[in-house]
Amino acid sequence: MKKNILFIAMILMVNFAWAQDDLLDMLKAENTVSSPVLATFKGTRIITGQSNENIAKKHLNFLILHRFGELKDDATYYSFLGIDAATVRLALDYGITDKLMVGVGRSSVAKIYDFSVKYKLFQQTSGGNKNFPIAVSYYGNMGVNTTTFADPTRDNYFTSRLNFCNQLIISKKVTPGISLQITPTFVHRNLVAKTSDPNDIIALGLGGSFKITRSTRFNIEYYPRLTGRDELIPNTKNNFEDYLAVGVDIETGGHVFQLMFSNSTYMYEQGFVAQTTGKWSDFGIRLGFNLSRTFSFDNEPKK
Amino acid sequence: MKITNQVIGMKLIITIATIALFSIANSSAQTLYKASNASVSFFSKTPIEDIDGKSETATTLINLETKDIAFVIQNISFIFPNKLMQEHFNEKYMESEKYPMSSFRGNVQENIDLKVAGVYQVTVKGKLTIHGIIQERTITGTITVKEGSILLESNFIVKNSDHKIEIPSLVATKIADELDVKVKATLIPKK
Repeated sequence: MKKNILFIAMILMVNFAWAQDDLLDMLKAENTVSSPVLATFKGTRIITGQSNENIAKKHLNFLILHRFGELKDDATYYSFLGIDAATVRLALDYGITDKLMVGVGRSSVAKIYDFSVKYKLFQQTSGGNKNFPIAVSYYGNMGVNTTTFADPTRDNYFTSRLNFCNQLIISKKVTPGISLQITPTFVHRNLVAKTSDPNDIIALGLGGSFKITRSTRFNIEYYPRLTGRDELIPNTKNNFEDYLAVGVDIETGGHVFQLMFSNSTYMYEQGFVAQTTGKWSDFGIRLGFNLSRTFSFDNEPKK
Repeated sequence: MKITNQVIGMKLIITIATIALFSIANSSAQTLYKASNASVSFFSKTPIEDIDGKSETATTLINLETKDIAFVIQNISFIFPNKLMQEHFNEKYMESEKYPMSSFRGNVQENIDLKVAGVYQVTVKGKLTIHGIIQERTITGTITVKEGSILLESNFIVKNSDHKIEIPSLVATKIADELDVKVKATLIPKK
């Protein structure tokens, strides 16, 4: 009998609880729609390489990137930690739609103009019953080297100035504090300096972003080359290195500052994948920073 | 003797369970009105920057019998003219991955019959949950009861500090602590 009373009491309690929260529970049960995962990375680049993030529709992003001289060349602080040897890339990225972004940039290194496009193929989603687990984007860019030709008396072609990069960007925000990315990268250069230099290089970009506070993150980025390494090409000694960088993001509302150490002076893919020369092991690393500011041109009348 | 006791017990359980089930079914029939396109907007005003977000997909329910009202809103459904603000709203302030929904559940305090058409100024007492923090609130508003539809309207203030939404000092001049919240919903009988 005691058991039965307990049973009845339980049923009554359950009923009581339902009557209390029924409205809220009914609504909560309906609000299980998948929504896009936001802010996998703070900016459109993890450090120098692209992240899966795009600029929103009708928003313009202005980027100033700097890389300084190698620290190993400056044991006496004569060039102030390499800062005297600054290289710069200025860039504008614009969101045509929320999925499609186009960009243009100009680097002081090799006087390169670059034109890029990034498209979100799949968006990671959460919160629903059927979520998509990863985000996938395509990124492509074309660089135009505008330095004067070394030998103007030769037959020089405009196409020799061009180089290309194609990337598939696969990323996942694993937890609110940890985002990871794999970036298969194919770089093609129409003209290379030496016959032993490969025109095509395949690299597997790896990146990670780790939240420190709400406004700061620690980032790491590594682009090991799968082809085109010295040891894979007979009788060659180009001494190119795999690109590796570590940095922090500091976000201040409208601006994102990215401070980093990297072993490349290049600020676009064809450069840092194929022509990185610094060795981390002997301080061939450079201080650098990216500064980005986003402007909204979304002037739809406020309701 | 033992067996009869158990049988009586079982019968009692069934009876009570039936009553309980009926009482649930009864309470949700005809007297429930619902909207899934309620509009909720908020406005932060400082001398430096105005910030406004708006959602048109808040869900709400009212029970005319018990005069209970519930609101549930997906934080990620707030739209901002500046998408960077939208991202920061979700990522830094609301922490929408941790706390995906904001909700309110309250009860109309006035001794009125909401099944009779009319315009009622009401005081709703209940719990407001934002950013995982529950606040006891008394919110005033208007309920307009018409044939086949009910209009809910309310303006109230939400303080970031009440819900442990910390504003970094770097942007404290741009984000007000007190947000003006406007709610408007047209509810129709729930099918």
